[in-house]
Amino acid sequence: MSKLADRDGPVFIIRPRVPAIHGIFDLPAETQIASHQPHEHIEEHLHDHLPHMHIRYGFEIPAQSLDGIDGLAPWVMMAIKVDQRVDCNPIFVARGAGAEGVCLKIGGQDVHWVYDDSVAKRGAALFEATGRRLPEGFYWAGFSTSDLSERHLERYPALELKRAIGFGLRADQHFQATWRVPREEPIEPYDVIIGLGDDVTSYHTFFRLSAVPPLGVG
Amino acid sequence: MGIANDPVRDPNGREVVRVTEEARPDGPADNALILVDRGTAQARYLSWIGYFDLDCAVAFEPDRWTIVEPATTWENEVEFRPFGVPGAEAKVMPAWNGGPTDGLVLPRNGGVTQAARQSRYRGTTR
Repeated sequence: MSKLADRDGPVFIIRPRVPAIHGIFDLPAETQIASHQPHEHIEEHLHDHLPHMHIRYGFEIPAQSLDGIDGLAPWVMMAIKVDQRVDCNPIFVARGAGAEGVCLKIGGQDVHWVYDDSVAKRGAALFEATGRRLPEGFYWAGFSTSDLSERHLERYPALELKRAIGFGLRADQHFQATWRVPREEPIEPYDVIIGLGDDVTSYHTFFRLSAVPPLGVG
Repeated sequence: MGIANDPVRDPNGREVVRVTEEARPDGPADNALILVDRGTAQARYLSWIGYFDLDCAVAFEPDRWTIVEPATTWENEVEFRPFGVPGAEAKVMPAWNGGPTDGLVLPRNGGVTQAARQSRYRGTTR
């Protein structure tokens, strides 16, 4: 951590992890991509009435000093097909009664996400700096943390972040892609590239969720 | 929650309505946002999920969409076709159809937008 801080200035370290919590319909935690046709209503489920594709990953924010950081807003972006949109659930840290997710709170408030085109632009530049390009037919959907209304970006003071992280924070994230213009056809599962970072530091990470769980994951 | 055409100036316009009661299999799902065409008395699903989409619709076409708050109750008999009428998309879909616009080929100048510009949007429903 100190080496990263020395080299790049302040960093907010976040690392991808395999999800830890089973999903709806008891989808195994390691199933990161799953396509569903419309089904009954489930709380917190955004597109249960439409064909949709679940996108699930976990992440870890290890205990860290946050030296040089007054506050920040984490971001996430993901590569989605252009005829689809993607929407997000809150961040889950556990599974509660009735299999409902228990949401991560920072500063006493559930952490939600809001669309943020500036994240998509910034993240795209970071991705291309790795020498990669998105395949034709995909775009970056970017999100920043938001308040409950999911209309406004929410930044968190370093002290609140430290309280939430404690000795290390482990959480699961769940997104759902659906057709921009709803139609009956199921969504064919595909690999999804994810980027994680924040609006203040240079630390970021990219990873790929596989539609087919790779051998050895579990 | 919702947005709509001005019902006085444009009685055949459209409205976006959040469904507050589960009505499947014949009607829409609870909490879904649907697009209602007053002229044809037909409704279909949108992929929108909340105020962010409504805000975007207003920002995208400020001369036609307005969010009216607080929300009001909307009740009407409409024919619900969850995925629309084949071939009629250009007549019923609003220009903002969800998701960020940067770098995308959205129907800004295509049939959807052209058709939508024939009418004005104002009001809110719930």
